[in-house]
Amino acid sequence: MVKPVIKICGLTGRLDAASCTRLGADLVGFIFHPPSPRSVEPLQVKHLKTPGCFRVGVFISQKAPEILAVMDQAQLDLAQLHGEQDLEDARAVGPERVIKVFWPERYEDKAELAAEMEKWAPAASLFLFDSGTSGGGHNRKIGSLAGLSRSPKPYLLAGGLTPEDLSRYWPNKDPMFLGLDFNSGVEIRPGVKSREAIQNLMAALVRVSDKDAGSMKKSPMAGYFGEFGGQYVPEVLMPPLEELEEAMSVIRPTPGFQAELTYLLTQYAGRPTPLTRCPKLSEELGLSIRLKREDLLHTGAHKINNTLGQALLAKKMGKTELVAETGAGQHGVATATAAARLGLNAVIFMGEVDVVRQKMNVERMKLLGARVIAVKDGTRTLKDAINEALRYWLTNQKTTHYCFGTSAGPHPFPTLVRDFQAIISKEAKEQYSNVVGRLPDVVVAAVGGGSNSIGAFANFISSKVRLVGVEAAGSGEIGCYNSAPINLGRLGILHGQRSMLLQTRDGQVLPSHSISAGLDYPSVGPEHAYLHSIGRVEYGLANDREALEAFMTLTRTEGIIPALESSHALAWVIKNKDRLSLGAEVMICLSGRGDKDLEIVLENLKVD
Amino acid sequence: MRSQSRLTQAISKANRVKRPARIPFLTAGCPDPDKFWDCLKELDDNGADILEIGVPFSDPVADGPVIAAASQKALADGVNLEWILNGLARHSFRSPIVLMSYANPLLQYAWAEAAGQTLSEKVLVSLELLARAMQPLVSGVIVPDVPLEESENFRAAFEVAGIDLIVLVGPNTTSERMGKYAQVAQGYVYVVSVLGTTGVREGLPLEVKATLARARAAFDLPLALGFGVKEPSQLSGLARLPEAVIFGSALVRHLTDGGCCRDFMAPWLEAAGQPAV
Repeated sequence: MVKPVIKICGLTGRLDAASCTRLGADLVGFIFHPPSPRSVEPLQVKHLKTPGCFRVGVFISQKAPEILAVMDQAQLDLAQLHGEQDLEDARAVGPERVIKVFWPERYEDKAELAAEMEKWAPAASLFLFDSGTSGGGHNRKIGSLAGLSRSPKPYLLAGGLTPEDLSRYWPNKDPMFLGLDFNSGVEIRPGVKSREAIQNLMAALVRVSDKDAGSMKKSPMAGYFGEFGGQYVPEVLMPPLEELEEAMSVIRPTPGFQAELTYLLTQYAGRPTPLTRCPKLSEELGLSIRLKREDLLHTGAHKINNTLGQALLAKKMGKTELVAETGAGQHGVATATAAARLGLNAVIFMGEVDVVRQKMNVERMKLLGARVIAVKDGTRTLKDAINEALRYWLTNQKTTHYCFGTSAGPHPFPTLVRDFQAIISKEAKEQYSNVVGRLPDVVVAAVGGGSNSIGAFANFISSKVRLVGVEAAGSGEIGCYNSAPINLGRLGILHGQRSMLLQTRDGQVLPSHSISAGLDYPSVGPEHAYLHSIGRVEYGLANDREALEAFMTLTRTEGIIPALESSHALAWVIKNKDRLSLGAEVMICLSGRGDKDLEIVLENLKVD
Repeated sequence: MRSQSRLTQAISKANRVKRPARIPFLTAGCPDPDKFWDCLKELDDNGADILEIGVPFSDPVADGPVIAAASQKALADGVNLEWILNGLARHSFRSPIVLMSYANPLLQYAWAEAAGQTLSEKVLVSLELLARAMQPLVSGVIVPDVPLEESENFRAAFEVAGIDLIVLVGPNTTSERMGKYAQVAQGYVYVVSVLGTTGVREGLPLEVKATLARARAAFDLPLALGFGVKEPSQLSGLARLPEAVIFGSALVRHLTDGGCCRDFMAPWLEAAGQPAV
């Protein structure tokens, strides 16, 4: 069974129309009946924009000629015959455009209703069953569903329905039962819809739809992007992963969660971030370069988009602690920050090598109240920090949420992190439409685990925009340690996922290297491996030196000090400028600011 | 139906003389590559019923510090799956052999030789080539990072070669989930005693009893209790003993501290007269 069709009826104003549209109603209804407090004029309706919804006119006393005229003027798709029309009128309007209303309580018995339905079946495409014996439901529920099950046409149910009724009627075994029609049950007063009620309705809709999906047998390839992804974890980690997946589908879509997250992102983290045009660099390269400024967010990088989302989810799940891994310390700081804000404990695992390299970030995390644990195993870098964080989560799963930092790891993390980072491309898409009047030609982002890049790509994947991910090639010499598993690795299994992996012949994970600590990871999120495998995204390379040069170029020409991660994306654009058409609109995801990298840059460059 | 697994038989044999089967685990190349095969022989001669060999991996997420360190040392000493299979071909043991390996070393063993139209096909072919190489040296494989959902390829490849894919269940595995595992389990069932990584624990917590009871109801196979088992006295609180016990970290630590296998096995041999299975 699929999700129920939702009709919201009796709209009168622009705001209501907009909120119904945004919240995903399938049909919206307008009442053309002056005695009703919800009555509207055709011209008024014409100007109410409801993209993606079928527009229905409700007619009580009008006959076919008038109905046709109103439908034309008000730009309606369907006519709901709610009263005095006969079969002739229905045929004139066109059966494919007719919704016929019945009041089952009018009929003596089921047979009488059935006969009437048979009579109307050829003249309508949908039926609607209302409570009472005429007019609207007005807070009265329909008496019984018995008798409706023999409807020859797909039907909607109406009559004073409220969001709470959804779970009563859905899921439903009758294949003809299509969905529900709401009017007075989602109003503040006649003619004025309650946004809150409509949001509750949509949240309830997500819940019943998910319950539906859950009852079906889980596909063996659940959690895969093509051949990549999966859940390669010890059995004892499966229950917390399932718990997280459930929270994603039940808690995350609720209006309460969304409102709180939006508040945190806008009022705390600083969204939306600007789309900055680079005049001098654009001229130099013969391109139109715009930067999506994630560096301007609180804590200085895109990581906060994800940690606020996950921390809020963890809190609603009843967890009291976050555990996280960190390489350069950016994700650790973002996790410690979100934990402090939301009143959660934070435990951060960091490779011993990184603890020394990124002393300032260690101090920041401690100031924020996090416990930082240095990992002494293996290569003592990010990958070993992930191992240790997974072990900690495995042991403390009842109280702890693993706030994974990138769009990798076992399902559902790649999806969860992508969804929280997708706001980058959601905003960018709108900004391009508003400022440039069209989408960019190319979007470029650096790829380590792949969270800023998947966020920058997500809302462009279904478009024709050229998408480029840039992997870190290390020193660039042949055979050097690098962080480019898509270009230089092969299929392998690490950290719960099957993806591209840098490894020895017999499957041991190779140490990775990049001058940018945030890209220093031997594998990559499974969705990137997939997007590469189907040719939707191309994955280029930039080495340490090219990234350093790009770092200096942006600093000097535009007065923006970029993170070394983002500098790889910029470096790719600079070295491929001749392969891009003159004046092309290029968006670069500036995932973070470069203050954290000053020491490394100063070590490697002679700056006057 | 295939004939009864060598592993199930080995455990039943011990249970017939009223004692749990003993399954020592040793990371390959521990305490060092020169002594490893002799150690294994010593375990085989001193009461082991099944021998588990750990294949070293660079990122052993399910293991605690003792086995992780042994794994790291073995890698530094050049130990890999090929070294293990070559060694098994040169030695013979009374006890059947089980390999415990993370998924990636298994997947990569024959990757270079595997051909396939799609990646999924290549994965399966690679695992089939591995299964052929393990036959008849290896009776079972435990893959700690492959839960039910990801196990189909592994099971399909091993089944043809008559190699059991041993399932693991833990204290947070529901009866319902155990029921799903029961449909595919072979050899024995590895019951993880507590939430956490491998390592020695002082007592056996109460939840072990509950986990064992649920597993007992779900599976027709012998249960092997692992994760934290060191001495026979730890089992004294159990009304009904598991059919087998696995000792890993305690043994590895005993050996890396300079102890010998015979001394480690001695208390288990002495306790052989304890309450029946």
